[in-house]
Amino acid sequence: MNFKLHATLFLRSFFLQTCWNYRKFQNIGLVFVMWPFLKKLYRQDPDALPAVVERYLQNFNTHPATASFCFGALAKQEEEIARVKTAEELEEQTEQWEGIKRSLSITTASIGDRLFWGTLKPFTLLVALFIWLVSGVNFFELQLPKEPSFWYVFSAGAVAFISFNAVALFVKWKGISMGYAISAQRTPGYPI
Amino acid sequence: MTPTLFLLCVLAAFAELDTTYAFQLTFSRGIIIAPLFSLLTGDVMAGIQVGVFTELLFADVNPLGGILPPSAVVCSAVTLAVHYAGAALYLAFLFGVITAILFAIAEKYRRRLRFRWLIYWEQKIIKKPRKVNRAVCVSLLASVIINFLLLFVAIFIGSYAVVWLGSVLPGQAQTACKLAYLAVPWIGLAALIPEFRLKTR
Repeated sequence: MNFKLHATLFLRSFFLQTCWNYRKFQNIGLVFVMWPFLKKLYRQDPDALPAVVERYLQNFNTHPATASFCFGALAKQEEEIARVKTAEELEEQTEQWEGIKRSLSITTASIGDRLFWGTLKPFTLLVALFIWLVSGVNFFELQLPKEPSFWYVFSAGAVAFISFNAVALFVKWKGISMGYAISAQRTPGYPI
Repeated sequence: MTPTLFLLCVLAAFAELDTTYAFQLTFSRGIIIAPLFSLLTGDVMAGIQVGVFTELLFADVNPLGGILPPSAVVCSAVTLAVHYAGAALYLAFLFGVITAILFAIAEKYRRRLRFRWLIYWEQKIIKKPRKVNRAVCVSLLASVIINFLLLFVAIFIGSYAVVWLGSVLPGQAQTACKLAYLAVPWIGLAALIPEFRLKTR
């Protein structure tokens, strides 16, 4: 996977949840993220694309930040599928692809929810509260000063924003290459 | 509806996308978006307070699976807009919280109603996979329009109803509302403690 494709997948991953629904969750989002990769992979055989896309349109649900591991691993396995010669091989590789998608999405969802929503978000909130209180902004009072410094407005929010996204964007970016680099058997959560 | 409130509705409709549908960069968090909105409405300290209170009040509700927390963007935008229209901050916040909860319920119905529409798009994508780009664009646009309409209605009603309520509410009820408002950060901080407890036992 070259840098351009990696960056495209990364940018498109911000829209993973755009078509979120209760039936198949992030399925359309997954197709949207993977579309440039699939288009490039099946450039020689565009007739195969509808069947491939139909596979991606099945259930998919994970955490938006850690989903990048799934994109990388699914891309790697899709390359294996594109290389097969016989119907038996195709069935075997497709089954493996489905196993990776199912197990990895569950694992990354669990880790992502705990790490980002359960730990990082409340932690950055406490950091922001601490900065505001140290800066002299007592938001516990009903009578508030009318003209605070501009620093008060942005400092705490900016620190919370940057510290959360430093981790989230790193995981998003690195997850694609890490997911792509590991073999199917070493995929976290993959049934042995 | 003044131009300021109209602009606030537009900005909030776009910012609300960050909650679920696009980016998830967390600029839709109360502590970030409410101070930004307050630059528009003028009362910056109210923005910080509303942001902190909103964040603390919904701190223990996370968007896990199908769980839909009340929107911090809606709560902040409606509270600051109603406060800008002349209502007391504590009354405006109570209205903002109710609106955010109603908005979450409306969002649940919206997601259920999208089934047929998404099945239609799925069939189109299977036939012509490049249509997925259009499906995402249409979905984003529809979300912005619906967010805007819901916010517009809430702010329009709130800016009249809450100001009127403030003028007819007896003194004792006003005091009770003030106390409830000042209790919000303590409730939020109490809810935040379990978040840092060991997750596995």
